[in-house]
Amino acid sequence: MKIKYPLRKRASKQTIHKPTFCLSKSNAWLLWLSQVLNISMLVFELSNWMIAIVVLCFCLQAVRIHQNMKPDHGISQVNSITWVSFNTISPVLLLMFALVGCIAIALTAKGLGVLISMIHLLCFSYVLKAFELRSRKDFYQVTLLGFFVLASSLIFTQNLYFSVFAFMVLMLNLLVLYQYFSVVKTVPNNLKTILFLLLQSVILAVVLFVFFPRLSPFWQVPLAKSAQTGLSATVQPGDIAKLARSSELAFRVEFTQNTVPSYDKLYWRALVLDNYDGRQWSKSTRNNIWGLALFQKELQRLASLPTSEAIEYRVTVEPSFQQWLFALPVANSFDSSINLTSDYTLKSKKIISQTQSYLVKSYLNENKNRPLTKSEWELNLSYPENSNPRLESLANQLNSQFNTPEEIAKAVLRRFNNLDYFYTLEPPLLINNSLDQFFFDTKAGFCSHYASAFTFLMRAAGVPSRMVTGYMGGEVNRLNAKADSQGHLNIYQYDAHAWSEIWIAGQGWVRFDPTASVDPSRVNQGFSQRLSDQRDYLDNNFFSLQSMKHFAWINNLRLTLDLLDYQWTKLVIGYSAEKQYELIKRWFGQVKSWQYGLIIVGAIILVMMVLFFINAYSPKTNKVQTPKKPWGFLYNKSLKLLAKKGVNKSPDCSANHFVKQVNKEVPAIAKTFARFSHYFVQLSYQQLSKQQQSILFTKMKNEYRKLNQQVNKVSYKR
Amino acid sequence: MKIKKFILQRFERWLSQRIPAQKHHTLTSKNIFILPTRFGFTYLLFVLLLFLLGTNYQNNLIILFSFVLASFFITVMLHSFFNFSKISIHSESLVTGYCDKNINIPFYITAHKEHFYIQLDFNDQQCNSLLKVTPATLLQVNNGNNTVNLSIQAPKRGKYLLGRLTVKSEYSFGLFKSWSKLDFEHMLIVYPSQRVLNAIDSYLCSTNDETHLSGVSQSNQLGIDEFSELKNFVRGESLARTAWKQLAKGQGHYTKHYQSQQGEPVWLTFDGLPNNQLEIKLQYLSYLVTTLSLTNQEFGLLLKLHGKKTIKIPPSSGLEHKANCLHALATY
Repeated sequence: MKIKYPLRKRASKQTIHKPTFCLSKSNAWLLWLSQVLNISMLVFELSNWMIAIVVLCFCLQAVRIHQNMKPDHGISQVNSITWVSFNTISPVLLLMFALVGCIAIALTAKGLGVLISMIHLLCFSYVLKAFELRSRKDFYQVTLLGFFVLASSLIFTQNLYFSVFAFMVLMLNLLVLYQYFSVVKTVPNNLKTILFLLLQSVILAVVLFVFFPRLSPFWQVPLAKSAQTGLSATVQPGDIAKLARSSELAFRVEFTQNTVPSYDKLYWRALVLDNYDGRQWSKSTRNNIWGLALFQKELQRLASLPTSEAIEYRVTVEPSFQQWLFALPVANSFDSSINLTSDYTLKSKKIISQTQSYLVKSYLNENKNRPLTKSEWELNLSYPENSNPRLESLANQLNSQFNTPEEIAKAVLRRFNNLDYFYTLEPPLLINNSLDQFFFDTKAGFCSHYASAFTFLMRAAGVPSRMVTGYMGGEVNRLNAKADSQGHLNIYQYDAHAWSEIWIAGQGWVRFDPTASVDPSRVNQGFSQRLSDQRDYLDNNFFSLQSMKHFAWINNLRLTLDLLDYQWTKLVIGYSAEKQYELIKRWFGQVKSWQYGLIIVGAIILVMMVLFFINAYSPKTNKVQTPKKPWGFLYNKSLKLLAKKGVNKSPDCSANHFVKQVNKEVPAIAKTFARFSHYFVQLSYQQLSKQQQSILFTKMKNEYRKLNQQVNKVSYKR
Repeated sequence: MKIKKFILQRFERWLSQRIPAQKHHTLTSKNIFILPTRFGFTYLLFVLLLFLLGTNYQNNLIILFSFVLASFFITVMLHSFFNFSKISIHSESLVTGYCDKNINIPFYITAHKEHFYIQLDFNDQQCNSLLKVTPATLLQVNNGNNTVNLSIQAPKRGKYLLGRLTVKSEYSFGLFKSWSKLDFEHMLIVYPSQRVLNAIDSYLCSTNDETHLSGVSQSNQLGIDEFSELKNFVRGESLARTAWKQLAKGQGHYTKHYQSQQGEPVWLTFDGLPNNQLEIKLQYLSYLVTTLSLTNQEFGLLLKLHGKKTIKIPPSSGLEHKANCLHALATY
């Protein structure tokens, strides 16, 4: 039994001035590690100077722990534990440092935004707090701050792997706390206990998560202002090639009850860019009231169409910190958080700062033939005069050759196909983004080059046309394909694409994809082998499983992980008030609010009872049996031997008494047994050195051998 | 203040009904109190804060995180409770010791599984504000029998009631404090501390006559050991004391036993002790009683002073006698 006498420690303090609070060595390091991990969860949100400060603090802390180890800390009873007590750092110095840090945070606050500044402040105080561990209260504060740091990292990332990692870090945080109270147990043992406790808590937490009412936000909170990812609002000819190097997930789509449309129909529209200034394409900012009015009419027409015409699917977008959403044309959505814009695209009402999902209905066979307003007509024909003179003259030539817009477009596409145009992720640089230079000289580019040149040509030829960006295709994960679901589609950033739409009277806006003429495989099955090699070569992600697609099992693993992540996103991250309502309706039918309250309370009580019984009857009583000594075994063996001859030792009979009993019953072996028993008694009850023990034990073994022979003889005599 | 006192009294009364005095206590749900500590409440506040954060950001993961922490709170409560319960503690009620020395109160703890971080303390302010108690923290209570000593120092001789023993534990995360106040009816008798007298013999007096007790030395009677009896040889006894004659005659292995012969039993009194202060005299006597008991001498104790009750303990020897005498000294 190990006993700690804190008062004695305190008494020694009066003479030597030692701080009262101390941690065991392993715990001090665990605390350090947990701090490092907590902060590392937020490392992508912190600015560089903050990271530098944090790293510096951690280095100092490590040095402090190393220096303050006190092998003898007045607690002589617990020799095996090295204690670390922290020397206090001058509070003035600490205050100065804290003030400087706060000022730095305040100065940078404007650029960072409120939320990130708060995170900086939190991390800063968390790191500094570890320097003033004077009492147990400080230790508790550090622990609670740690929880908060850990939780706030979940604002920014929510995918499955991150969550699992966060759970493990939480375990470590709890371990630090636990280790303080059970110093004597080893770290793995403590970890086991914590895992046991956490798994129990997870049961109740899941019940709470499922049943506890989802509340709407109480007040407005500053949103994360992270770097925007994915498509940008303006497109220059070289832009999308950069995006194509990223293998990050853009969004996922799950089709309900329908088959996945063929690959060449998967044009996920995001942005319509109708304004060209000679260098880049952008969205016109003009208010278009007439267009909206006409579009409302169009929506009514769509709503009146039979549902069999539509395909329905759920899109789950990853945070892009932008507003545009993705859908197949012609899309309609009844989601309250989505605006439908007059150019048939979807736009979120809020910036997408966390994973979000929405339901869309798409009418693939419908046309986008909302009539154009006059200003739209003009806009979709305008281009800066003389920006690309050679293309303009080509357009004039085409215009005189062909009559209909369709013929002109087809002629251009033919040209792309027949002449040696080259589709590449590494297009040569263009001077001033000159489309002329691309079209007539370099002849090598990515989808945005072709779409830009094509749209420009059509405008110059007098055909209203516009650039559309979005994503093309997607990878089907059929691992969870069931009767009502075809699995889900993953659309990655490298699926980003640009194409054009031209206005054809009677058909409305018709999609033309010049990329299809240059590299047909791109629009039929995705990246060709050559392109994917090129992409892997350029990819920043060295170890992405994407690049190892050709190993079947790795690909399978990747798809399984992807499925898990998708389910996580769908079931946990996407669990909303509506889903909760649906679930409860499915399980309990229509319930009134008081019934609902009853359900919650009932479920919680039930789980708590389960937890009670788990705890009450947990087989944790690891009986610490003293390991039986070898002579114990030998003695027992002799007892068995004698028992065969009818001499039984009752449990309450001592070894010495038993000798007398043997003497009476089997006098023939009495002498040998007496010696044997004597050795046993000596070995068991006397304090002997190892050497003495081994000598006696060999003697005892010799006696046993004799005893064995004699016992056998006895049996012959009988 | 009156209300507080009233409540305390009511609580005391309720407690004495709930946990009556016994020599043997087992911690069960009947006598365990469990409440969140201050850290526990702060923790809950933080969990609430996290829930607000999660709700405001409509972030299910943070909400889930706060739920996990909240459930963890409940799990820890159960865990703490089961760590604390089913411990049996046994302790004898009478504790004796000398003033200004560490007095160990032994507790015999029986457990059926391992328990951690159990603290024992006497902190009944009413009973023992003078005593200096060193609380003991058991980092681990093993499965089986354990003994733990709680050491107490008393600044003055006398009789103390220790009040209830507080057994508490903040295991496993400091979120909950489980505690119990067990009444073993501990009575602490603090003997006067021993003040060494150099020439003992000169202060011993053998007269039974109370009228002329003097410091007359009876030293010629002391130290002369006379043979008293033969006893069976017990292993470990010195061979020098073997009765060789008897052994040679084959009558068996005996040892000779001696006893110091005292013509008349020694009386310990206040008279003749080198100091006039009562306390110091008592300290001398305490030393004498202890030393004489070590050598197993017979002595009596006579305490007589103006204005105080006279205490007379007839001469005897043995542990019980020693305890009686010291008790008398402690309470005089």
